[in-house]
Amino acid sequence: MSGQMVAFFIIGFFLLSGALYIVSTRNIMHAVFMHLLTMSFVAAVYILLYAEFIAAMQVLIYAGAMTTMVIFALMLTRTQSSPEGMRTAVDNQQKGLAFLTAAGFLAILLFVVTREKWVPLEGVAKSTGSVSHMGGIIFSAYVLPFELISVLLLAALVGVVVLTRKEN
Amino acid sequence: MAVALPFLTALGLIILVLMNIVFFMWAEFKIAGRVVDRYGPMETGRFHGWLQPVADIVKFLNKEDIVPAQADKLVFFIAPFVGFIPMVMCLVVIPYTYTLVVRNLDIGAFFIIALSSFTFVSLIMGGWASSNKYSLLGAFRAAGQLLSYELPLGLAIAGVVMLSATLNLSGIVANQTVWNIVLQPIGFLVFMVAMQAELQRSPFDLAVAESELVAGFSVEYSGMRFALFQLGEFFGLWALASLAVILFLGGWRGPFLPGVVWFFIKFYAIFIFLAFSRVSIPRVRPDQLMTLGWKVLLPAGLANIFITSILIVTVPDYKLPLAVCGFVILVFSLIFMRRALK
Repeated sequence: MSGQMVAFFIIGFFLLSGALYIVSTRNIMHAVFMHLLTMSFVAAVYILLYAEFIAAMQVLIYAGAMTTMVIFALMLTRTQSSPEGMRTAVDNQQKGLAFLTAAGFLAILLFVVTREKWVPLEGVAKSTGSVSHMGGIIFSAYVLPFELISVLLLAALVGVVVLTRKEN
Repeated sequence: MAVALPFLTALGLIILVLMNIVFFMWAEFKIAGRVVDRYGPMETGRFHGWLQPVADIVKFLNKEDIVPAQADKLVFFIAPFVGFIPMVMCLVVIPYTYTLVVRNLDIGAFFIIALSSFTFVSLIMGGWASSNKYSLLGAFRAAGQLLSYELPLGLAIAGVVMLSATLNLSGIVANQTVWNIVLQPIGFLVFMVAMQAELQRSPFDLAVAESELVAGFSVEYSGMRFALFQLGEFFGLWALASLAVILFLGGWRGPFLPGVVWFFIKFYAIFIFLAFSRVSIPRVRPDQLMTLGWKVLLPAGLANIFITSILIVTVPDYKLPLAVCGFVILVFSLIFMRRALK
């Protein structure tokens, strides 16, 4: 077993235990903070795959921005923001639906993973994970999705401004 | 031996940084003292109180580690580490000379920006877990501030990255035949202001404003845990000041002297600037903070990127027009900055 494999299994162990903790804890703030750590472990997996840029993006967006957004949302919507008030505040009414969604997503992933013909990592990932390569394909082959996403974000931004503006 | 070499480099680097941080603490005391016409520390260690920071560290080590009864213990314990460890990791990519760098990552500049996003989560963790309303208020002030200034910081870096066409920090220095401060004056201004806000140093220390919020998110922290927060801030200062040197002041470039000497001359110039700005500018109000971030620095950063990209693409010899345009917008940005802080 190579060092990479060992590292992968260690990271995978922490990643999965973190994910389990997120969905099983009764303290919603603990779930949010564990989300940060779990997403950092996802970034570690990307680093193992030579995709440093995606790893940094993962940290910046999921570990940093997403966590902060969730924290702000929680703090603005709860009446009790103290550690005591967050303890039993987890909403579990949609358990069944959540389970179905997750199971469906797992099925899709398993379907794709088993059908895909995998190529060895060495060489390929080193060239495709680089920043210049990513930039090249985003602005040539995938320029349409990129632009669509930016329009979507702009719409969200304008929507936020409209929604939060006071009527006069 | 070859396997151990990166670890030895890293260890040597951390020792170097820690020793410098001890010096920073002393130098800040001295500068702050002199500015308000006092001597600063004079007693400890006889010569100009040079042992004062060491005494402070010993004091921190000896203090009782108090945990509030209502606190969320686990989060309370983890929070300082979440702030501290990413800041130490930032040091990995900083090149002091072409060869003196722990790991020359291709995403260098972006790596530091990504890691610095852990800071505000650590502040919120600390503030929330303390179960104290002042900590929570301080933490949210800090979170709002860090979020608002992350964007201008990224934009300032983006301008430099566009000029050098690489995120690799060694590559950015190698491409600077003219220092980027000349080509990107607005970028430099935005970076220097946003950097102080990101580090929550004095003109922007609303989150730890002693007179309003006791000590912000860190009210309930004492002893080593509090010291760890402070140390994280110093490591952040090191990372961002080094980044300023690399991005805008030509890194290790300079005549006669060896590269590493030039690097530290520039580094300490930035540090002294920060130390003076800390004691000479009064703390900004929250509304001024937001106005400055969103209405001055962000538009200035965007204008900078806009002009830089247009000139790089359309004008073959873009350096002179870029410097001139940059200088003009710099003057306007300074006027707007002054208005925002009135």
